[in-house]
Amino acid sequence: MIWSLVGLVLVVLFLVLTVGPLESLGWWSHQGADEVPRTVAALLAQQRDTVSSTHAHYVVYLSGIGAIGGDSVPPEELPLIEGVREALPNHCVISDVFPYSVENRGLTAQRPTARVWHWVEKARLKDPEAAVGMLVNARNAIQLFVCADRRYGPTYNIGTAQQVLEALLRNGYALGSKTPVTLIGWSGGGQIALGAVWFLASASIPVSVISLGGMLSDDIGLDRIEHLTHLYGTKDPLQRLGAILFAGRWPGAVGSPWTRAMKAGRISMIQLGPMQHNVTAHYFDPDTIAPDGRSYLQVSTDAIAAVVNGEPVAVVPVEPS
Amino acid sequence: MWEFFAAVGRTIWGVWTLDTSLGVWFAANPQSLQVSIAVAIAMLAGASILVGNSVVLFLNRIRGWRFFASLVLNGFSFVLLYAVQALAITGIGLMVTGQRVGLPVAIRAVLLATAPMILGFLELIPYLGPGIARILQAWGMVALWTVVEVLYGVNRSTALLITLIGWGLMQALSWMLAAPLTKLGNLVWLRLSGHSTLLTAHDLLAGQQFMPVEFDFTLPETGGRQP
Repeated sequence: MIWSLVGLVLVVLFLVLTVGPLESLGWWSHQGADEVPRTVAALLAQQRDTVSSTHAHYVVYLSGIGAIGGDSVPPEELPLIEGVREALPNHCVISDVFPYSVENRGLTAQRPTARVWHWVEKARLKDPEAAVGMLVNARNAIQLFVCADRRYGPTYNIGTAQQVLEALLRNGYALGSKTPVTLIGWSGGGQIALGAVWFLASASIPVSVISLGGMLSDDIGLDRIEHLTHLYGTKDPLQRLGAILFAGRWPGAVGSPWTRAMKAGRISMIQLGPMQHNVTAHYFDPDTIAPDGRSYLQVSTDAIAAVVNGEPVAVVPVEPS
Repeated sequence: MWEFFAAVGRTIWGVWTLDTSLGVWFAANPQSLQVSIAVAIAMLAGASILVGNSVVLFLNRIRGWRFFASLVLNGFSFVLLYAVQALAITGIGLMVTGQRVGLPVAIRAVLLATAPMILGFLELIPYLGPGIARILQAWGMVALWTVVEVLYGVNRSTALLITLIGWGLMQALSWMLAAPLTKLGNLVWLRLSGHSTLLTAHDLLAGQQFMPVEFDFTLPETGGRQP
């Protein structure tokens, strides 16, 4: 009985994993291949009329794998986004891109499974720790691997890059202006940000990425990135998985984009403090207070603002033992 | 019809589990295994492998009947490939063991060894897929080894020798026939996709599908090219 159940779970898991790439591949096959050249043509036409961006620096926040849609990020992330906005008053901070869909289509939008996700969203609003919320994490985690896979990455990343680009343009970004763009990716959003870099950089946009506890692969976007800053907690095992699961990050991976970027000094790894990935004492925790009197939420917010401004990061000071 | 599917299912399971009783039964009754069952298994394996690699179909926007035609065609080509493999094995088997096995029996037996590749669709799984494909290939090789062992009633090392020489011969053949096969493949591809070029993920990264993706955002004021 138990083995049958385990077998059934495995079959369902494998099937779910198998259909994971079909959304972005189907998008490319049905509309993306037409849509992308149209976008490029429209951008080229638009660019002729625009001289400079409305802001000196653009920051795009890409949510973690718990996000249901661009307009429905997990509540715990909202104070950090607001904090970053306050800390960077002259920057344009964008947070309405859903990184786990090539069409920026939230899980509760027009999809065959929308009802399920509505139900999960309601359950999560009642109880943020509800177990059904893990379904969202699982679904989006699969998209993270789609993004990192060299076979599917190009179609997936061209879709998300297009969404980021459209969000930038909606907010007054002028192509050709070389206005810097920083993508902030929390958790899985870190990898999605890296994936989008390749195509965004193709449009002559100088792109940097700040990963907050991100599970990062040796994405080829690293070859075109200005700089990657990986902020992580010492008690966060999930961010460590990136270095374990993705062979291109292994120490012997000579010639991988990660190794090349490391050698070129385009990757900074900054240890923020004893943060966990989630549950308690995590990056968004307003209740855990560091020895310097700042909450972990404040430490994360300050670190992001410092990196964007090119200033030294104030990490959690180590308590004298 | 139901009985046929049940028989296909039982045979697939037997090969997956390298069930020796199935092998013994086949050795005793080589004509009892219907050709249709062996062909159905190889067709399924061929189609499944293409599903696993369907990223190339999606990238090239092969949809609807063309998509299914591609799967069926891959199934047929898989049957053909393994029929040639069977021919190679009968020749090598004759040289190594001195035993003459009829080609129809050998084809049926060798087609059975494709059963693990029925799971080829799992190659679709992000990141893990290529690794799973390697495991399936190794599993298929072990299945072929078992089939050869039963077919010739020889010990494991002799069966392995026949299998490995057969595999090597197939590699050499595919190398020698690469040019005409590519020509044939291109012809079929043109019929199915309507265009002669095959778009790959690499082409997409290079922006070939939507040139100029390496944007030349020349500012009118400066006339300068952005790097």
